[in-house]
Order: sequence, then C-alpha cells, then structure tokens
Amino acid sequence: MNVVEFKKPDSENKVVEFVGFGVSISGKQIFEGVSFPVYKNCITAIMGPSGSGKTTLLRSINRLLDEFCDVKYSGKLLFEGRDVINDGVDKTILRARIGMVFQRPNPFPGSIFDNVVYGLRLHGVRDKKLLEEVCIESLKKVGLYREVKNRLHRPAYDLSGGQQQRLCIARSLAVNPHVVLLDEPTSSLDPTSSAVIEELLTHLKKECTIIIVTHNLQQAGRISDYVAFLYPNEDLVSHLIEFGQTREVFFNPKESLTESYIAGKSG
Amino acid sequence: MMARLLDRKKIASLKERAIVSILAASSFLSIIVTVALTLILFTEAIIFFEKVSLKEFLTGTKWAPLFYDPSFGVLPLVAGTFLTTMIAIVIALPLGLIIAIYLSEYSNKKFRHYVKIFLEFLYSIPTIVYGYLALVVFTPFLKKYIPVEIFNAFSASVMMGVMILPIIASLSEEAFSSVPKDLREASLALGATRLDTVLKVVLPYSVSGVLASVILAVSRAIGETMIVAVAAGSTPNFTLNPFVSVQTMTAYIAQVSMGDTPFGSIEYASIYAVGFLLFVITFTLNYLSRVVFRWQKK
Ligand SMILES: Nc1ncnc2c1ncn2[C@@H]1O[C@H](COP(=O)(O)OP(=O)(O)OP(=O)(O)O)[C@@H](O)[C@H]1O
Ligand SMILES: [Mg+2]
Repeated sequence: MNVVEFKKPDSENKVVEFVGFGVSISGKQIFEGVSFPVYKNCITAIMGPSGSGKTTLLRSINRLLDEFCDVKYSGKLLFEGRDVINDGVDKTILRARIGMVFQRPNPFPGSIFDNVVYGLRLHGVRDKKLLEEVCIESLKKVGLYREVKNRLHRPAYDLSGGQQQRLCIARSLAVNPHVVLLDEPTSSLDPTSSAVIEELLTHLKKECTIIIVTHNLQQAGRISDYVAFLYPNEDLVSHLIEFGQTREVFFNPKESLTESYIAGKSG
Repeated sequence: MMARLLDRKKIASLKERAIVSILAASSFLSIIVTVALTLILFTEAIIFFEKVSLKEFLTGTKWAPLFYDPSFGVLPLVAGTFLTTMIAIVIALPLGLIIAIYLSEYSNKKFRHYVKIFLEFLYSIPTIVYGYLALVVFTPFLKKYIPVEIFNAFSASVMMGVMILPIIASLSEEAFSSVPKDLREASLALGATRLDTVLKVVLPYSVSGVLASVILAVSRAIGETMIVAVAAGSTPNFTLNPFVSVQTMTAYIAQVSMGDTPFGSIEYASIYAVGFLLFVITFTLNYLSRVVFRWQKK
C-alpha cells in the first residue's frame, strides 16, 4: 500500500473519476450522486449489499451496460480525463483500453491460444509471431504459462475453474488495458484458486489500474488500496456512503452505516 | 377405517399398474410397427432384387421401368432428389442463418415473437400448396425471363427452400439463443462489435446446433413428395440442369402407387427398392443429426 503514499492523488493520477454520477435502468434509478476517483496503479474495491448497484457501476465504465438494457446516465464519468458519457467516445476504442473479468469464468469456444489473442485479432493483428509472444507474455502475467505451455492449442474448456478465470484475466490483459474491471472474480472459485488470483492482482496493479467488486470484506481488506461503499436508501436508490483508503474506511469509518456494515460482515 | 384405507391403497396401486401396462403396451406397439414396416419394405425390395441386380440398380443411369425393355438404374432418381435438395438448401441455409442471427442478436423481443409466429405459419402450410404455387405462379413468372420447362426442378426447389426455411431459421435461432450471455459480453468488452461477436463467438459456439438443423432440413427435403411431384414433373432425368423436368425418388413412388401398376409386377416391386434406398438415406441423416446434437451437448 505504499504506492499510495508516494503518489500524489492529483488529477494526473486519476484514471477514472465519477462526478455526481447516476444511472437509471428502464426508468428505475439505481444510484445517483456518486462521486469518487480511481487512482492509477491502485486497487479500488467497490463494496455494498446485494442489489446496491456495484455491478451496474462497474459496467457503466466500459459502457457495457448500454448493450442489453435501456440506460439513462446522469453526471459525468471521466476516463483519462474524457467524459465517456457525454463526449461521444467510441465504445469499441474505449473497451479496447478497459479489460473486464466476470463473475464466472467465461472462456470462448476454441483453444487457450485463441482465447488470449482474441482481442488482438479483433484489432487486426495477424502476425503469428507477435500473437504468440503476447499470448505467452499474458499467460505468464497470470501465472498460467507453466501449467499450459504444452497445450496452448487445446480447448480452453479443459482447464479447471481457477485456471479458466486466470485465462480470462490473461485475455483481458493481452490488449494492454489501462484499467481492468473485475466483478466478484473469485466468488465461483475455491479458496486456493481465489488466493492465487488475489496474489496475482496485487502484482498486476504495477502495470494497470484495477477496480474490483467484491462481497468479501476480508478480500477487500487484503488487496485493495481504496474502497467505495455503496448503500441503498429507503427508496432503494443507492448513494456513495463512504470513499477512502481501505485502512481508514475499515478501521476508522466516518459513517455509522459503514461501521455497522463492516461489523455485520466481519462479526 | 384401517381396512378402507388399505382398500384405497390397493385400488390406487391397481390403477397405477394399469397405467404402466398401457404405457408399456403403446411403446411396444411402436416398436412392432417399426419392425413390421422395415420388414415389409425389405422383403418386397428383395423380390425386386431377385430380378434386377443391386449393381444395375445402384449404378445404372437410365430409369425406364415402363419401357418394353425396362431399365432400372436408380441414379436419375437420386440425381433428381439430390438436385432439388441442394438448391433448396442453398436457398434456405443463408437466408435461415441471417434470420436466426438477426432474431437472436439484433431484434427486439416483440419483433422476434412475430417473426417466429410467421415462421411457424410457413411451416404449417401444406406442401401441396407450395407445389401448386410453384406450378401456377412461380414457373410462369420464371418463364418470362429464362426458358424453362413447364415442369422443372428449379421452381420446385425454390418452393422447397421456402418450406424448409423455418426449420433452419428456428432451430438455429434456438442454438444461438442458448449461447451464454456472458460470452457475448466478454467479446463486446474486448472491443468487438456485435457482428464480430456473432462471427467469432456465437457461430463457433453453436456450430453443431446449426449443423443439426441443416441435416434435419436436408432429410425433410429429401423426403418431400408433393412439391416435386406437382412442380418438377415425372421425367427421370440423369442431369444437374435445374431448368428441365426431373423425377425424384419420392415422386416416382407416388406416381407408381397412385397409378394402375399391377400388383406383383416388377414396376410395382421397384417402388419398394427405391423406398428402401430412401429409408437408408434418411435414416442415416437422422442418425447423423442425433450424433451432432449429442456432440453439441458436450
Ligand atoms: N438489466 C436490468 N434491468 C432492470 N434492472 C436491473 C438490470 N440490471 C440491474 N438491475 C437492477 O439494478 C439494481 C442493482 O443491480 P446490480 O446488479 O448492479 O447490484 P449488485 O450490487 O451488483 O448486486 P450483487 O451484489 O447481488 O451482484 C438491482 O435492483 C437490479 O434489479
Ligand atoms: Mg453484482
């Protein structure tokens, strides 16, 4: 967590920033007035009870939310200084810079190799050697290379759940994203596989910024530098209750809601 | 009190046993019918093959059972079937895939609902209607532009394509819709467009489902009788020219069974031989589609 100490949290270091941000889906307000920054090379955890809009918040960053439902945004969502909601940013370019990992491992049909280089091929890379290099490098980053180097061209479905999830992380890393979004990436995995992924994330933040949704308080405590805590009010519209360095929020919460949530979760 | 309860239990178990035996009997019946049909087909075909060698039947290129000097080469009939089926698939496959892709990936729920009703409607049109339409509407229309015979393979095939379109469209649509949403999202999140996602994730994932729908459509087309009997004519023709009259295996069987061919004659026996060949072909196709379905489940 010393990364945080020597980096001045100025606007340079804000990769993503929510400014009075709100989302409504099919006319139903999910959350509103959410403002907090996401700092470069840090792990920011989004926490909150089920249904508080964590997934929704995460999916608005790469505008994946727009694909399958009727969304209305309010406020601003800055990605590297540009408002991705109002500035007419090209979604496919935006998504090429933002990796995403899902709750359950979801490899594509095809080989391990095909999976990792999917993004590169999309963007027109055909050079076999380059594809191979990036594939190996990405697999190494997630600690999977040694385990699969003899079967790169075997179906990805043959891997175990934990390996598949690491493959999915490698797939998102292959295009060199600036930010990686993870939505409860370990919730379908056994403790050992989860630990491997947690460890992996703490290394990964050296090269990109990580935003993770997690239900697991211990996990957030172990790996995150910052936490954002969402909580719904009586009308089931969520607000940002607290944002800050993980240690502060966990041991010194300013809000009683945060305190009772943490106490309830850990006690 | 106790006795009555026991009685009731007894009656219930009797009822249960009766139901089970009825069910068993009906499934047994279906086996008997199948075996009987196959046997009849087989024994009648044997009668035919006592007079005509299997080699002449399978490799001969002239089918003229009514001539003074009859010949029984089945290839013209096979060619007629192959030609009409091929053209029908060439029309129905791309169209069906496009419809399926549009419905599962782009359209909204309401539109999808209506198109599916429409497809069901298409599928429930009696095939004689298609045959008739081919003969009195489509062929005259074609005649204005290209010199086709009144009875021709092309008109019949186009109508057959329309007939099997719903099979391919709706079964493929089902295959596409069963692709997990997660996979599409992962692809989009990597910067893929919807079209990229269809071509690189959805299609590969459901390729066996699509294949199974095609095999089913092919076996349906091969077995189709009315359309070809009405619109493609009854001239066995060893050709791949779609603009002339051809006869398919099914159309030949229909012609002979409805005509006044004497029972026991060789022409009469020949329909069993053709029928048997048809049976072998469709059975193989259906079996193939089953294998493909199972393979997809894995
Ligand atoms: N496509 C959608 N259409 C309508 N409502 C939706 C849609 N997606 C999410 N919602 C609603 O948005 C709210 C927040 O959902 P979201 O999935 O973001 O919560 P979450 O915090 O991720 O919950 P969980 O911890 O259970 O994953 C819920 O009330 C949900 O019903
Ligand atoms: Mg969620």
